[in-house]
Amino acid sequence: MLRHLILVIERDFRLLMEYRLFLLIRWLWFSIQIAVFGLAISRLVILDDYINYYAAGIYVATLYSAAMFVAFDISEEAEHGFVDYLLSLPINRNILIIGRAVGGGLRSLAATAPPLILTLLFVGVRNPYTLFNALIGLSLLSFGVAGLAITIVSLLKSGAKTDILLGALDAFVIRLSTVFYPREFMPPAYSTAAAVNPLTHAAEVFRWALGLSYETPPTFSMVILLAFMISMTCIGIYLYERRIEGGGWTI
Amino acid sequence: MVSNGGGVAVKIDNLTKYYGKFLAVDHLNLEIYDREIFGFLGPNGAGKSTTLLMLTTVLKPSDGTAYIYGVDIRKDPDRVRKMVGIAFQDPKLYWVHTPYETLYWHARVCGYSSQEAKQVVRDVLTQFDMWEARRKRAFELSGGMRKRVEIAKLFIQRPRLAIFDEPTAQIDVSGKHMIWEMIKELRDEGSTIILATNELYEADVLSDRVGIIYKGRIAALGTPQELKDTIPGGDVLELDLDKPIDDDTMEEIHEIREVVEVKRMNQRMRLYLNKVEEVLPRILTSLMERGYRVKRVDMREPTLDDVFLHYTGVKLAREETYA
Repeated sequence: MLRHLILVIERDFRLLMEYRLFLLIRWLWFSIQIAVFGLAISRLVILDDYINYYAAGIYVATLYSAAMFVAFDISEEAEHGFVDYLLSLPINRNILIIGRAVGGGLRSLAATAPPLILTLLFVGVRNPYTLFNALIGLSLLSFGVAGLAITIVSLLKSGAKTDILLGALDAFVIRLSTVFYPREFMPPAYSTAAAVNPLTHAAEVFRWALGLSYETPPTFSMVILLAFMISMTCIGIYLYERRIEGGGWTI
Repeated sequence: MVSNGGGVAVKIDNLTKYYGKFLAVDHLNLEIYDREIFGFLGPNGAGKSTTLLMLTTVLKPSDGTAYIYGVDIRKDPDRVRKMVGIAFQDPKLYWVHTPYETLYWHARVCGYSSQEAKQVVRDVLTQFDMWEARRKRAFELSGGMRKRVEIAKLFIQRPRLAIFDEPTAQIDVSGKHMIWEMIKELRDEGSTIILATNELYEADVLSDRVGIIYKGRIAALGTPQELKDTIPGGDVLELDLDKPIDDDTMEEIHEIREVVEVKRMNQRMRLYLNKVEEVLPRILTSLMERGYRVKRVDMREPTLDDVFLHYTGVKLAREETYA
């Protein structure tokens, strides 16, 4: 079982190398986003040290997008009928979904390593211990989002529906979080939504680690992120076991 | 000739699959013997691939089940997948992966160590004449090359139950003969083979038994010779005429005592009859008297195509409908 888990993770991780140019463009985009947009917007915002607040937030948003990208990969695989092949292999389905979630999560962390390093260099590392904890929190977010992405795409069985739903999800999940602004500035309904949003808690933990302002106790945020990762994996396992089967994919 | 080990490898029990309201596989019952090559014939959309995907646990049955060497596909799919391998009709290669990467990963998943996997992948790629192309990405390969890689997966896995879904589609003639020999070798080494195909010659030369599936049900089952023997009359006569055949002509031909069955499709007439050499002049005379010009005459023994036509009214090779 462990052997299969490693093989599934390794395969997904290796796919990252196929996106070299795409990654370079994303890293460039990230640098410009902080250097141009971040700098300009921080002059308009009354919050102290907003440029650093923004840099930490945009990293979390980038990590979320990278983890969600797993869904597009799977959707493309499905259009080539590759899902049928994976489902026919002598691999336990639970191992398959866990492997893909972990592989997707690790891939996302690796894909966003240069933006992470850039953020750390830009903001500065004050405490290695808190940074280590934050990295665990960010990993939990990455694994959880990858699991969520796999579950969504496997249930939708459609490339177009996946594009639309993930686009809509991206708009809401990032904006209804503290990635770009603190909860104290949000209308009450938005603030409530942000309070249960895993991106909020990933951003909070990361800012805590970087010595920036945060609104939620880091331990609480870590618990939320752990619960998110476990629940997404469990839902994925449940659905894979009962609902997922090959064939029937549409554009 | 059934050269099986005596036991039942696959027992399909009332297996049913709905896609929405469409019934793709209709309470199918079938037994496939250990170490036989079972030819699974049927036109596109007959339920062939759906059945095979259920046997590999890729699809879930709507009702009924199947047992692979006694293991229920619904209750213990993990154990089933350890015994079953499939080469899909459409090659399942990820577009950026090379043949070597694809097969190496497949070998590792099937339990080979890293060193063993390297060796077996090299051997199989060489056997399939794909070693030179091992570093090309899937999107750079021709259809035939992709198909070879897909089939090569099964020769790496060497499962107890090997399922080939149209293995020689897109493969050139020499490649076909090579694959047929390899399939026989795989059976001789102990695997049970299910060979789903539209190529009747392939089914005829390879299969110990043949099952014809049509509209989700088994329409005929037996050895190729047994099935051919069920065709009425010992001969098949096919005539191409210069115009569509009318009902009166059909009736007149059918009244000839040696003619057992007559089927027509536009300007083509197919007769199942006895003593074709004696009756042929009489048939030709009747046709000419009715103003038909005979453009082609073909006499032969029944083939699996005739078997298929006899049981379903559909010509399998081109899926033409005879009346």
